[in-house]
Amino acid sequence: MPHYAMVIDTRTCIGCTDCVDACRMENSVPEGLCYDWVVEITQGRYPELKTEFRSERCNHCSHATCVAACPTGASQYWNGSNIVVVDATICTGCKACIAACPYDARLIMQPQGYIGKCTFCVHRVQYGEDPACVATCPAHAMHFGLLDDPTSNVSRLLAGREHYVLAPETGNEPNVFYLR
Amino acid sequence: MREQVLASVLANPRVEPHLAIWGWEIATYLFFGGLAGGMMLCAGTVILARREGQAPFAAYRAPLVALVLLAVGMTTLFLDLERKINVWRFYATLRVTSPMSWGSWILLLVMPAMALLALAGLAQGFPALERLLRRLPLVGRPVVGPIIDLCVALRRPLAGINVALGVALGIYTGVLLSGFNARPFWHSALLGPLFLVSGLSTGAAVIVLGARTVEERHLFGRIDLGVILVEMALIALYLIDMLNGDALQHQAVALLLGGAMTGLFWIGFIALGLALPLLLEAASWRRPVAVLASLASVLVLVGGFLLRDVVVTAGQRTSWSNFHNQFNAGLLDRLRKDGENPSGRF
Ligand code: SF4
Ligand code: SF4
Repeated sequence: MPHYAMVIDTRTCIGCTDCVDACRMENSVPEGLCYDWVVEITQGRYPELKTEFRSERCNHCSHATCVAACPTGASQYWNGSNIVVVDATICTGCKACIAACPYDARLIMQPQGYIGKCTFCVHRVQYGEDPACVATCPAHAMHFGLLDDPTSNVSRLLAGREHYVLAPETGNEPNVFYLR
Repeated sequence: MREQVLASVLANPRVEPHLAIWGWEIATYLFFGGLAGGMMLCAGTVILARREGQAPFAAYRAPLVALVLLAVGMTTLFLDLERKINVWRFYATLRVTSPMSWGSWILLLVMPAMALLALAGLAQGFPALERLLRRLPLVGRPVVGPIIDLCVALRRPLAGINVALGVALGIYTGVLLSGFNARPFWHSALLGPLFLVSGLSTGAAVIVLGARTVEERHLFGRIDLGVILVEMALIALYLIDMLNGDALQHQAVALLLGGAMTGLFWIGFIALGLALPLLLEAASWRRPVAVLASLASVLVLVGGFLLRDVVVTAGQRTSWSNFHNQFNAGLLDRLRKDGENPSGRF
């Protein structure tokens, strides 16, 4: 069971949103929609302010509620991994999965009507390449790899640095990690 | 201070309203689904209790009326699908973890069960239609006639099946929403019973409106009164449950307590859709007044729809991600008003 993870360094990210553009080019995302997005969080009290950039997307959850809620099986794990994909030939556009995703990572492809989302660029990953956003990041803030392999870059980064995931309380076991 | 802004744009309904998950179509479907379930329950119970004489509309006509109304609901459900060509995929599989999958199979069982019970009551309920069916060219005599006779012979078992499926359908309309842990407003097990009871109330209201005898109207008016009381208790439990919950649930219930849905919920649903019909039905508890009964039933129907509409809309406004991306969607609206397209810049 390959267990893929993305590790994003919030200290090196400069918030340039190149990952968003790279994804749009790579996946021909319809105009006005996006599979990933960047938020800027500023905390503290002037003059002691701290800003963090975070590139967010589908977390390819190990317990994906979107897959559980899909009535047709269109939302599924790719090849027994934790990568969640949607089969557009099966999807009815019932939107149960959008309601079921606690990270609001899914959207309706317009005008086709099936559900779109980040695929971890599975079409690249299966040939051993990094997802487009990771490959493009000019600050080298994004990393991608296998968690089951203790020598992979993601495993080593997570072992060595403090990190967090978004809302672990959802119970979905998200697999996009942020380094502090 | 903690401030979060979007450096890029987010394709979700808070930013792009046209990406909203479910609109009036699903509210309408849940309304008619619950109502049809309630009518199945009423019709089946009347037949099982051998009270046909007392409640002829419920026993003989309600199944066909419910079938037509459910068909309306299923039509709006179909309208909501974004990729209609794949609708048959619902019936290519049963996903045990997906309430919606269960629901589509329940609907597939409900339709024929209702249709058979409708056939059983056709001779008394809609005699002209029955004669027409029996006289259909080719199939009338050899096929339809014997089927009708069989349904009449099996009325009581059919009634039992309708009661069971009516309850399943009614609960399902609530469980469909309460199964989503991602939407705090929906994530309460009370939605199942609440929608079942509300469906029973709206079903009884249709029977009151359709009944031709004072006795039947009065009977179902009284039943509805009890059902409304139970519904009020469930609403109270739901609110208490949410108020005693965690921050997500507080944020969710705030929509009803001062937030965007407050007016519609308290004035539209609670006051006009529950309390007023309750008073009207109580006023005619001893002496039936036709006008009051009809008015109460219409209000119950409006209230039943408002409940679905409020719950469907409010659920989508609540989300875990609200806590992480607390940006002000109103600012984007201002950009739009100034003639800029916030997503167009990226
Ligand atoms: S983040 Fe949402 S869409 Fe992605 S796997 Fe998890 S539940 Fe599904
Ligand atoms: S919209 Fe498509 S992928 Fe999502 S739950 Fe429905 S059928 Fe499954």
